Amino acid sequence: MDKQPSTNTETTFIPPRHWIGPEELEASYWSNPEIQERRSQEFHDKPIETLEMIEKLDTKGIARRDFLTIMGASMAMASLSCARRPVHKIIPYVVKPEEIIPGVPNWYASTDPDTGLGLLVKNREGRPIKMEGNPDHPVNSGKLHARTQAAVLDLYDVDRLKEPLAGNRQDGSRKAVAWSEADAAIAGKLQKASKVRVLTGAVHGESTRRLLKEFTGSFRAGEHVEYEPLNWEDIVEASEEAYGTAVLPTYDFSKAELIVSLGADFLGTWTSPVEHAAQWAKNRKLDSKKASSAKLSKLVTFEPNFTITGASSDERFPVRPGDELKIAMAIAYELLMVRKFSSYAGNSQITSIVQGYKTETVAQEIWKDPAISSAATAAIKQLGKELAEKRGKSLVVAGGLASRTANALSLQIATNFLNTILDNEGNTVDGTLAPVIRPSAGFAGMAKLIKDMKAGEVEVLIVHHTNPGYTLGKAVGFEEALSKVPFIVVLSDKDDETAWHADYILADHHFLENWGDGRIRKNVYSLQQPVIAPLHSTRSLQDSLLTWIRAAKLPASGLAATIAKAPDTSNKWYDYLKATWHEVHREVGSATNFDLFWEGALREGVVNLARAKGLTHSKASPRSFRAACFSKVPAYKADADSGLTLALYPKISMGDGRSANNPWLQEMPDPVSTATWDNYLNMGPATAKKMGIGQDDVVTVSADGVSVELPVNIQPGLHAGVVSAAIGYGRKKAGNVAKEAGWDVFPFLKVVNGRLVSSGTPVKVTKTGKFFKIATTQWHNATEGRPVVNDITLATFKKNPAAHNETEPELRMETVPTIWTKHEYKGYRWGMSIDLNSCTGCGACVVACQAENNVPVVGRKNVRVSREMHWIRIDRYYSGNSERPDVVFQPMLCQHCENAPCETVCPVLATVHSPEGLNEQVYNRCVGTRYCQNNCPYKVRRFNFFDHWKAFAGNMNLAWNPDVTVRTRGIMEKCSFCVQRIRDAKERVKDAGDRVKDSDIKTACQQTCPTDAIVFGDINNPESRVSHLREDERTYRVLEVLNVKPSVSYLTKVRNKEGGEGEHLAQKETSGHVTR
Amino acid sequence: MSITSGHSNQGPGKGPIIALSVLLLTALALGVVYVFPTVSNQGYAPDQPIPFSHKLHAGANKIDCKYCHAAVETSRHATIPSMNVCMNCHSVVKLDSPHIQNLRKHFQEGKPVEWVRVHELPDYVYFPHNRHVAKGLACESCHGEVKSMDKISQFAKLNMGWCLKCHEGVTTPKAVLARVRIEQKNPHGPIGPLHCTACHN
Repeated sequence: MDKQPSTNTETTFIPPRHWIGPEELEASYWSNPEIQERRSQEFHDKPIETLEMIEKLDTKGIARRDFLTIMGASMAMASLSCARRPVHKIIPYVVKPEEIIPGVPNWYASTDPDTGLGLLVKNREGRPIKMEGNPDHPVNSGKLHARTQAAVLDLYDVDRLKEPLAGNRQDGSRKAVAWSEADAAIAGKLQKASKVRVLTGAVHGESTRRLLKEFTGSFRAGEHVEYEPLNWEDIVEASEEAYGTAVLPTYDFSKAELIVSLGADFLGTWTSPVEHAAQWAKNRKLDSKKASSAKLSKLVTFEPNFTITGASSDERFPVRPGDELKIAMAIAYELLMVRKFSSYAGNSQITSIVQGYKTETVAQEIWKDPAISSAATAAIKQLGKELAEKRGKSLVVAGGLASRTANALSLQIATNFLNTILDNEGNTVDGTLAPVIRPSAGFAGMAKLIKDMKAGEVEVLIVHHTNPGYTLGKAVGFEEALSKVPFIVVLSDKDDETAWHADYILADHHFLENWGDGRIRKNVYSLQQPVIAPLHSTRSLQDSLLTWIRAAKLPASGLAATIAKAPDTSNKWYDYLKATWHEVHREVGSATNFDLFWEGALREGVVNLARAKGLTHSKASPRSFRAACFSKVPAYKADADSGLTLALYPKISMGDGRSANNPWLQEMPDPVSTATWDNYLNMGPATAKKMGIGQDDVVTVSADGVSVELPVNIQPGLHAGVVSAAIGYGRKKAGNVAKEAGWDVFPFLKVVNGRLVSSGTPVKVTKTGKFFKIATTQWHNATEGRPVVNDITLATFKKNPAAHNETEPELRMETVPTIWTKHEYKGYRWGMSIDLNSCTGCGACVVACQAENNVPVVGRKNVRVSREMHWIRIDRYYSGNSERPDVVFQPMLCQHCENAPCETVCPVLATVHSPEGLNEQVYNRCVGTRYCQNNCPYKVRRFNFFDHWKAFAGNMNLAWNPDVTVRTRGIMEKCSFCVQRIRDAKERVKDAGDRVKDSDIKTACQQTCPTDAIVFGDINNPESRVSHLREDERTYRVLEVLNVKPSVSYLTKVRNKEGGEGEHLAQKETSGHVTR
Repeated sequence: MSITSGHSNQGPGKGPIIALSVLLLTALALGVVYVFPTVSNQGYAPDQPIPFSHKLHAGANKIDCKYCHAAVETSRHATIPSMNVCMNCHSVVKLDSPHIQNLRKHFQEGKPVEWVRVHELPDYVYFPHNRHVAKGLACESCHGEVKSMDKISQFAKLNMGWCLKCHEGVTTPKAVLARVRIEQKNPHGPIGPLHCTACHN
């Protein structure tokens, strides 16, 4: 693999091939003795700092020695008191529910109403503790992303609204009211009102949509408006313009051999990321046995912000927001003008616009740096060539918050045009599977609502599960409009920014407490069932609507009228849902009666209409393109150099900020920046240097009278004219966790020509002289420059799949005598294989592990001093130059070494080897010497400096997995390979006399991985997937020269790009030597 | 920064006294552990809110253990019966007893009886009843002659050494030993797993 960076100043400085931060590309960094010292140490902090923290936390004013004395005394007393048993009670059920057996989990199928994805919820003794994807759901096939994984914790959030409140809009005071009181007041208003609006987030359920329609239909001027800050309005609108159908198409990345992403973060945050990541990964799997004929899809990205999609790209070019359109048109130029591709080459209406976007002109305008602009020109020309060759086997996707400029619609039209002429429409793009027409939840509806409110055309406003008081910023005057509405009811889980303006704030169910349904494909119906009785005095939107229809005697039509007649004690929403599912039952044409069908649907969670009816949907008929829409695409015009432009983006962990009070998500490191807990202003290293700004400098970002102070994160791979910042932070009214996390950048939203524009705003950035240490994890695991990741190109792979992953013969440890006795693994031997080529760094595994293994949250302050507790982390390495770096993500967890260095140094045998190859951590033996952590070459051991579990206030401890010990202060922990799952699997198969097979066990990280990059299993079983993968020639083990014999192996990342293995490759290959 | 910076308020004479007291307390703590080498609650027999007699139910009336401790074959926990199980009989049996009237009152009010826990392992021990029962281990091996106990009392030590002796094959009941040996095809190996994560997750 690669060479340690040379620090000898006499020879030329050779930067490391893989680097963590741009500093490492400078010779002065490596010769700095302080840096050398820091990198050689395991621990980043000094004891004094620990003490200061303890003092601040719980022993204010006590000096260190006194503290130790007290500790000693209390330990002695604790030992004395241990001799007396604490008296515990056993409290049985009065009447045990039939399905509950204490100690045995129940799994219930459900649906996430935010994404429409299928869930399996693990319940223990009646409380949900973990969510996994429903493997039967055709869209997410058992996988979930981090945000959905973490949603189970929101249920137990101590800051949830626990009862309905009456608010005073003048002074902001609140008082608790009874439901009956609130209902009477609301029904009174509804009875007299005729202009009523219900504003909700995106509704994925047919039944809810229908109920809303029936409710609003009972008023003379009633309307239902949907709004989501992360909406796909431009895609839907462009679909209508181009094809006449206002739908959000479905995409099939698994059929695409060449993918061009114009700002679309389809692996992380764009439309349906879990589904897309899985599809994309199908063409990223390689078999070394068939290396010479290997096929690999190619992904080329042009994006303003550095996303995980860009990081997984084979080629990535940083652009300014708005440049995506120019790139799309330059590709069209290559196809139509240069190659005379497709019949549109003769359509003057189109060519007249396309001809202005000459590739060279566009590239030179976007990139001042001739090296990048010539590379980009070549790349676009190459794209033109390859796209023309791969008719119907490519895919162009565009859009997202960071690309939403005033040109957003044109960008989507250009994208549709490209997909049409490339025959992708009908092949990789399918416009026929969308469940609803105009599902955008975009700004258009909201704009009309604001207009109506301002004009006094709204008498009653009901808001549910959307928070425009926060997500719309200030520009559109939402708050001002609210002040014109005489009566506002907000149904929310928090007394949030919108609820602040309400007359009544009604505590809403968490979705795990509510019924519902979902339909994210025309053919896919899914059911959402409550898995726990409401924890607080909350009520669902649907039950509220039905209650009000009855109480206010509203002339609702259809089903609502019938159901609402039932007495208040009945479960109205459940009855309503069941009634609408009678129609699904008829549509399916099921031979069974409804009750059996309903039971089955509840059990499975999903009804796949296509499968039920035996339909096969192999190829959609392509929609025909309306050339007239092309007039909406502007002719080429070079943008005036406006200095810095701002791109807003959603973090994969935080989204639009609705789960900002979720500590798991706050502490999940961003895959690219590795930062936790806050947002920040990303800025390229060259730009920062020019402006004299460094990492963690606080700057003022201002535009159009809005200014926000943000700390700076130096982010390689950004365009010189771009700064970017994440939305979803700086929430003042979401709870105690969210309160201090980051700064609100929604105020930078502005309206241009009736469209809400989030990016492309010219901004002024000025230094304030203040500092804010962003809690990043990127340097926490820096080694002394030993190589730990390996990446090669496809061409190299075809010649030699094992390229660069071999250990030099003289360093191979089989040849070196050892004093350790060899372990024998007679039964199982557990191992893992991680494919760096399909890992997208999305971080779903990090949160899944946290939920499964009770991994604590430590807070920003502790992350700063590298005390995060994650058992699995995603290390991110750059290679190449800092303007346009390549990225490798490496999930790093305990390697369960055969010759584990931690085991040999533990003075109390608290970490030992199991007969199945696990490196076991015995919490009760651990005395906290941290020798093991110091001796671990992979830096995966985590020490509990404090009783972090205490941070889970109130009933949040209900979210813990009862099968895993909760760790206390002063002990070490680390990945256990989900030993509780191993035990469970073994116990399940034991009585049948079987061995545990691949299908019997999945670790939490493996289970949720959307791209199937993590494979776990029994190495002693030659049939297991992990056994096969370990024999793949692409397999390497990290730091193999240490002879620790890890049980985790990695598969080299293979990039589908020409040459470009970095300029250091030639040097590396000739020297070909692994140092140290 | 040095370790003591910012803490110069410490008087020079205090150090040895503190050190000595730490030493003495540690010695005391070690002494306690020496005198009581294995902390066990063997023989623990607390009063229960309702004086339920196993001698009467399991002994005289010969009710099978699994009738009440129903999950013992399917779950980690044997489980204490829910009150509706009590009511299966006591809706008709011995209604004149004040204890049964008390029990019925609890049931009717929906208030469970709060039994005092007798057999308790620490939270970090994940002992599966079902696995042990599946290997033919009798309840009495660990819980003693419950059939003759009026008031339930902890029969075995239930500490780790005690568990391991059985897993090693030293104290294993003969019936289990014979059965496992046949399954194992190994006359000398341990009867049960001995590694840490076998019981500690």
